[in-house]
Formats: sequence, structure tokens, C-alpha cells
Amino acid sequence: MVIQYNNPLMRKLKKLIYGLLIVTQAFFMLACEKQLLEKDPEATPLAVFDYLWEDVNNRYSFFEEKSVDWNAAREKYRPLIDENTGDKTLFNILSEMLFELKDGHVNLTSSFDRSRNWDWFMEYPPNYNQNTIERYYLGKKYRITGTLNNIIIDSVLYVNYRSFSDKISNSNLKELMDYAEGTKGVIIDVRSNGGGSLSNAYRLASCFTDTSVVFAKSRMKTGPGKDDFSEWDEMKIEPFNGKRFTGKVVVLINRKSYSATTFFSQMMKTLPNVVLMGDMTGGGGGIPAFGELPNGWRYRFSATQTINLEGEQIEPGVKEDIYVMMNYDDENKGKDTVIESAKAFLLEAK
Amino acid sequence: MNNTKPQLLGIIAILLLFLMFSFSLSSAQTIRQLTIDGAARIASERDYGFSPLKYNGAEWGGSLSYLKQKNHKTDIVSLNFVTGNLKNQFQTGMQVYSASIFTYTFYHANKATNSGLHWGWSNNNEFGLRNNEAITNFNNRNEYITSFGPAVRYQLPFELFKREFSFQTMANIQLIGFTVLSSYVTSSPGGFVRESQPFLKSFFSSIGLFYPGNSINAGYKTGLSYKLKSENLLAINYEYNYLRLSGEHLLIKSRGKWSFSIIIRL
Repeated sequence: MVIQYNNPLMRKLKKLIYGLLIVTQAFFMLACEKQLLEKDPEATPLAVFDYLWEDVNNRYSFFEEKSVDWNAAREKYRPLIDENTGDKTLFNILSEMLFELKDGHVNLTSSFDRSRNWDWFMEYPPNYNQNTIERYYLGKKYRITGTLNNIIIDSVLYVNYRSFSDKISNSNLKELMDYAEGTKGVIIDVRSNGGGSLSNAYRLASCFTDTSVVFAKSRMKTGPGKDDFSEWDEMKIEPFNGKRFTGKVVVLINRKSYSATTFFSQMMKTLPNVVLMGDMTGGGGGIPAFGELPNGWRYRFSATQTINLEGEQIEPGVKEDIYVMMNYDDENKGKDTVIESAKAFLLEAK
Repeated sequence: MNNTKPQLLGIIAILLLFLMFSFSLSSAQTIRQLTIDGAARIASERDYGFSPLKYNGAEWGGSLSYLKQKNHKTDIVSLNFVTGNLKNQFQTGMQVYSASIFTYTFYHANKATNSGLHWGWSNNNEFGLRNNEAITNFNNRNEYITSFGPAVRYQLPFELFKREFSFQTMANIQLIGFTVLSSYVTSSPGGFVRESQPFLKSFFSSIGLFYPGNSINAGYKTGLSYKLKSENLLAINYEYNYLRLSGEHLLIKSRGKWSFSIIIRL
């Protein structure tokens, strides 16, 4: 049905409506979608400083545990900045401020640099030599099962895993469990493994238990207040759906075992058939969240907390059960003291 | 640490149930139309959970709509999907996805059904997902909203070169409803932060209210249609939408969509 507008008033009204529609259309057709959102915030050095300080103040999870006075950090670093501060100077000042958090999960990333705190491993002996592993333990005939390098040495299965960012598949684990059958024990070497995905940690740990095991509790920031956290939530390992190894296992750790590797160490420490050997892990018990500054730089910071079954934070690291340090005489002879100790432990175990 | 999958499945199930319900109500209509359209959208979004910066760009998608018109009212249900890659001024990318079921109901008792001004109400059920490419953990944030509010439609049929055209504008402003939004830090909604909780408990504890002063969803759609000899129609439309959600972090979206439609009379 087509309406005929014969009434003059209706004709005027029609013209008015047409006009309004055309004006409205023209406004939006000129891509005004972008204009209807406020402009990006100013990216002056002080604005960038304030944004970073404020977001970390609201969302960082370890102020109290690390006795960090974040207000004092603001008082210390803000006066160093003015409107004429250059990018590289600003980056250095912000990095220094973030360094106060003493946290390996805290970084500032720009197009020209990435700040980091590596004190958690740089201040300790390496306790690991990749060349020794490659030349004298893995050799030429080791197996590469997905991302897990492994070989049977003196009836013990030695597994070397370099990064939890490298995906472990179920078929990799089935193969590894088949290979472990009949051995006198398994050594999992995660020394200098800097972490990665927690899901790989769960997957690998699931092969060494027949039951569901609570290994830690975690909570997350839920608001800007210092006490704004979720309730503690249990973290569990569920048994692998396939063949599992419940014999003796030694996990080798050092100060450079960080983040997901710290979580993995905590999982394994909870299992009765597992011993942690070496030096304690570097920590990283808070899962990092990310943010972006008005000038496009990105940053990350810990936004969760994790405690072990005794209620202690694992942020500083998971402690070894048997402390073993590399002996440099051994190293010069092509021997890894920690692996040799683990082998001896497994071969002597009843 | 991420429960996005069960959350997505839950939301999809709710959307499908809603669609089935809407279609079941449409079994006794007098005039029915099915509209299929392809769309390009210019979008600008800012999610303070990620960044204070705007992410802008083009998106692509389509929709399927069903219209039922009786003498006293018109019901429209549309299923929409759009995806695209937005960038901020420093060229950091963010992949975005949006799926929605949008309904309009217009009342026109004692009025012409296809011309003039009709009042009614609208309902939007939308799920949006943003995946920031520069972020490693908690790199996706998402929102689900169900919102309601008044709507108005103006139709102006006219003849040109002895062909029938119709100009139509529909506007809506949604003021009440509920939301399920990503938490303060994680991708999952607040209730899903505790992974050991049952799904339904997590879902219900994640629900937030959508009300004036807190959130708003408003927009309008305008289009010009041309009637073919077969009684089917071709149409070109422009649809603008503004969404503002105050959750743990403010989320604002401003989106303008161009679409070309084929309208089939059933």
C-alpha cells in the first residue's frame, strides 16, 4: 500500500522528516563511528607515568607479601619526569619503578626495549649446563617425543623439557609412559625452564598420579582495593587418561625454573612418589596480566596469588626436597652432579 | 585458568533456545518475510580492561532476519554475526567477533501497517569477543548482554518511475537488562574465576545488571527498499549502534554497518 500525502501539512511534515533523515545519514555515513568515542587519552610523559602507576596500584597482587610501598615509589619517581622527558628516559624511569616490585613477571615493553627483573636467577649459580646435557647425556641417539627430549640411562628414563610454552600432546605422553614402563625411575629435568603454559604443566604432572590431587590454592584480584581478591580456589591435578607411571620420580629444578615450572614443581612436590632435587625454583607464583599505556607501550604484572598446602606463597619459589649443587670438577669431566645424584637416588630406592 | 569454552557453550545454548522460542511464536503470522544480508561495518571499540586506547577498523558479516506482520503488530527477529580486525593508533591488532539475536516488536492497531510512525520495543541478546594480539595471558575479553527498551519505526513508501520504494527507519534505546562480562583481571566472567564452582552457580554469580546511568545500548537502522515484480525486495541499509557497558572495566563500542539485503516474501 502506498500512502498519498495530499494534505499540505502532511507534505511539510514529510519534507521535514526527509531532511532530518538525510542530515542524520550524512553524519554517520562520514564514518563518524570513530568520532563518537572519546579521543585517546593524552600521552604526555606524566600522563603515561600516572596511568602505569595507577593500574599497577589497582591490579598488582603482591604488594603486602613483598612489603612494597607503591606510594613511596610514586613519590620517588614522579618528580624525575616532566613534560620534556624523552621516550628513552621515560622508559628507564618507569622500568626502575617497576623494578621495585621485585617480580620476574613484571615487564615494560616498547618498540626499542623490554625491561625485566632477572635477579631471581642472576644472583644464583646456574646449576645447569645445556652443553653437558647435550654432549654427555642425550648424545646422538636420544628420542624427541614432541617437545620432550628423552633417553634411558642406566635403567632410568631421563626427560629434558626446555619450555612449558612447547605443547605436549596426549600422544606424546602415551609414548613417554610406554617408554617409562619397566624402568627404575624417571628423571624430569626442568632446570632453566622459564615457564610457559600452565596447561602443559597440568598435562605432564597428570602422568604421575592415579588419583586427583589438590596441590595448591589460588586467588585473583577482583578490584582495586588491596584486599580485593576472589576466594581461594583449589588447584588440582587429575590423572592422565592412559597409562601412568607411579614409580619413583625425581624432578630437577634450579633458580631459573620459573612461572609455569614453579607451578609444575609444586604439583609434583605434592605427589608421594616424587622428589624435587637441585636448588629451589625462581618463583613466579602469580599469573601475569597485561595492560597498554596511552603511548602504546605494554606492560605486564602479577595479578593472582598461589599458596601451597601449608598456606605459603609460591611466588618466591618452590623449595627442593634434596639440595644438590653442580660440582665444577664433575662438570669439567662431562658429568652433571644433579643428574648423577638423581640416578643414584632412583637406583638405590626400594 | 580459562573457562571460556563452557561459558561460550552456555551462551550459544541460550541464544539458540531464544531463537527457537521466537520462531515458535511466529507460527500464525499473516505476512512473513525472510531477509538475508551481507554487511560491512566500521567499528571503534575501547575496552579499558585491555587499554585506554581506541581500536578501529572494518568488520564483515551477515544476518538472517524473519519478519511477521499482522494487522495490529509486526515482529522482527534477526540473527547477526560480524567479525573483523581492529587496530589502535600504534597498529596493535585486536580480532573481534560479535553474534547477536535482535528483536523488534511494533504496534500499529488502527494504523497503516507499512507506513507512518509505529512504536514498540526491542530486545538485544549479544555476545562479543575481543582477542588482543599483543597480549599473552587473559588475551581475550568478552561480554554477553540481554537488554530491553523502547523502539520506534517510521516507514515512508513512495513511487518513483512507477516503481514502489520504501524508506524505513527504526530506532531503539535499551535501558534495562543484564550482562555477563569478563572479570577484573581474567578473561572469564567473575563467577568463573573459581574454577571448582559448578557451571550454573558460576554463571548466575557472574550476572550484572544493565540499567540507566550504568549501561546503554542504542542505535538505529535506516534503509531504502525496492520492490521487485516477484513481490520480493532488495534493500540497502545503514545501521548505527552505540554500546556502553560499565562492568569491572568500562567497555564502549561505536559501530556503523552498511548492508545489502534480499527480502523474500514467504
